[in-house]
Amino acid sequence: MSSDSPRLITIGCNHHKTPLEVRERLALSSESALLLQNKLKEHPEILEAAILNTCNRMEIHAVANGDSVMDHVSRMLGSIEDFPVQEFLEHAYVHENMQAINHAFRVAAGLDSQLVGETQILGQMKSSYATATKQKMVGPVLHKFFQKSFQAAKWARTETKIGTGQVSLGNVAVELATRIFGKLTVSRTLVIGSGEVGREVAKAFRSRGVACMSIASRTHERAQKLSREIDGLVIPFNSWQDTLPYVDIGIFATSAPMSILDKATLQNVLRKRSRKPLFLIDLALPRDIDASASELSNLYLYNLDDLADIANENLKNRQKEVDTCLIELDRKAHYTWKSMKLES
Amino acid sequence: MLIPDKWLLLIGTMAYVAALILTLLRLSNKRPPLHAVNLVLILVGWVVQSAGLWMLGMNAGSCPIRNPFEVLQFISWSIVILYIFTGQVFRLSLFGTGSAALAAIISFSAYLIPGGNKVSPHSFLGGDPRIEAHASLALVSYGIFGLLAVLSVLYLLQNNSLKTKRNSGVFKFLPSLVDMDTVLMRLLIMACVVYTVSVAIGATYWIEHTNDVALPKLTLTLALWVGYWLVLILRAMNKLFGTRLAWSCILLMIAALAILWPVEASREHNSLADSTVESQPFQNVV
Repeated sequence: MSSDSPRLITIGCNHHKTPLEVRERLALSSESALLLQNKLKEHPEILEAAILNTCNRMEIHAVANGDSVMDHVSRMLGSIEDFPVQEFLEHAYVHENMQAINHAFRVAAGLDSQLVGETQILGQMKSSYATATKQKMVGPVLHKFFQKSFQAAKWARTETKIGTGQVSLGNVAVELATRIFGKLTVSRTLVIGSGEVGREVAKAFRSRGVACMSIASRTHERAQKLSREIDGLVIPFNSWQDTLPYVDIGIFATSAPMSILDKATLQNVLRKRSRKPLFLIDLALPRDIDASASELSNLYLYNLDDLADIANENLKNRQKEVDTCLIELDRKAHYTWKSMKLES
Repeated sequence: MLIPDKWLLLIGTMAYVAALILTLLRLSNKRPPLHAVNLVLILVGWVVQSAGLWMLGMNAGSCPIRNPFEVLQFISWSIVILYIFTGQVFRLSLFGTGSAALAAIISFSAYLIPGGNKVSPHSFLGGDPRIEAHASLALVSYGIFGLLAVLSVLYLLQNNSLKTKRNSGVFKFLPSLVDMDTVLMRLLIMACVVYTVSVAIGATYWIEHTNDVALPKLTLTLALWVGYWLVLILRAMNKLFGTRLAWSCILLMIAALAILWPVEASREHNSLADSTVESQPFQNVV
């Protein structure tokens, strides 16, 4: 790409600089993401665009003419109902050209993830690429950008040890449950929602032999699919609150736009449970459970950030490997950028 | 210079300290405690401490609980023997280390009491066997109170670490909250039963010698008895549990240790009075 040619640009915000309570307001629903994608497509100065929308990051990768891409994107985001544009701008980062490639390589390799070295983000990037391709928003630049990112991720996964010794969120949650209940074979678990992270955590509990698993999801088919995977029992979504006093562990991973469980309700639930503790894992973003509920005694509430912090405790041991990987990814990004410039 | 029985008691205590230090070193290196080695150290300590108490008892011609030093040593010994029997059944991680730590603290503090080693020439022990049975059972129940306090501290640590989301170091080796809650209940029952038997034996003597018991001592002893039963009843009714139960057990243990002093003072006073009236007073040790 020459200096006057369209620029490759990444605009976004992620868990590094944006606290959870802001991130949950920035999270785009699938409908909002589609709306944004359409707006990007319609904009004359934006030639190519893809949206990466996960619970920990919202990024727009675009190829655009002119210097006001950020303004255009802000206006588009402002047109989405209830989207806090000002907060987004306060926490947003912008990477251009080689920095954008460098950033994408790190993201794809899981080095920019909350759980360093995780692989889920690669699948989410692939999904973002597929969606944008389907919308005919991927041209030669973004195609190469994504393909090279996937290759970089594959290299990091196979040629380095960044994933070695990594603790999954599911294992962290199970470990915490063991510290509360001891043996989990008599513990009852309720899974609300059927998202990917929730499924991973539910599977971890099943593998540790929890006594009974109930699943409630707005999408009945997805609940049934998960119930087959973890040998659980599907319950109607509108009855999960009645079940709560009788379970020990609650895994919440819905895509509800606001919290579905408040402190007062939980107070009542705890009263019905007499002296038995309750362990709630809130994996949703926006969060499903009112954060102030953690003040209640005999209730242990963990969210995505809490679990990731614990999972990353062994990161120090892997730091050298991560540093080596980062240097190599920087080098790869540099070569990719050079080849893209030559091609253009 | 310490006489052999005191040396044995000190060596026994040092074995408990060794168990504690070993666990702390392991935990500081992020390694799990060595339960078998800990148990061996605690067992060795207990055997040596028993030998020391046996020598003291042989000299006294009675249960070695004639002065504050011996009373504290006996409580320390009770904590460990109760841990050796109950700890292996309950199998709670770090319970042994906590028990060894408390036993060591109580044992060391026995050496620090000024004049705590004095034996009154008019000891009440060795006479009516009910007095000795009452006193020694009361001190065994103190051992259970001690284990309750140790477990309560572990409970509060685990609860606090889970609430503040700390997972490293000692916290991940602590027993689970539910397991500790179950054991707390069992120990509470044990404490109430043993203490009640002790009080009942004392009462049979008191009925015959009502004037020999100092009122503050009687009041404090019964208040402690009521306190433990109240906690047990509230726990059984699910009205007192979790951190509040743990704090109650710790506070009751502190109260139990605190009333040892007025009781001891009262005993000293009665022993002196004995020398003039030549009667054998009912001596309620706790």
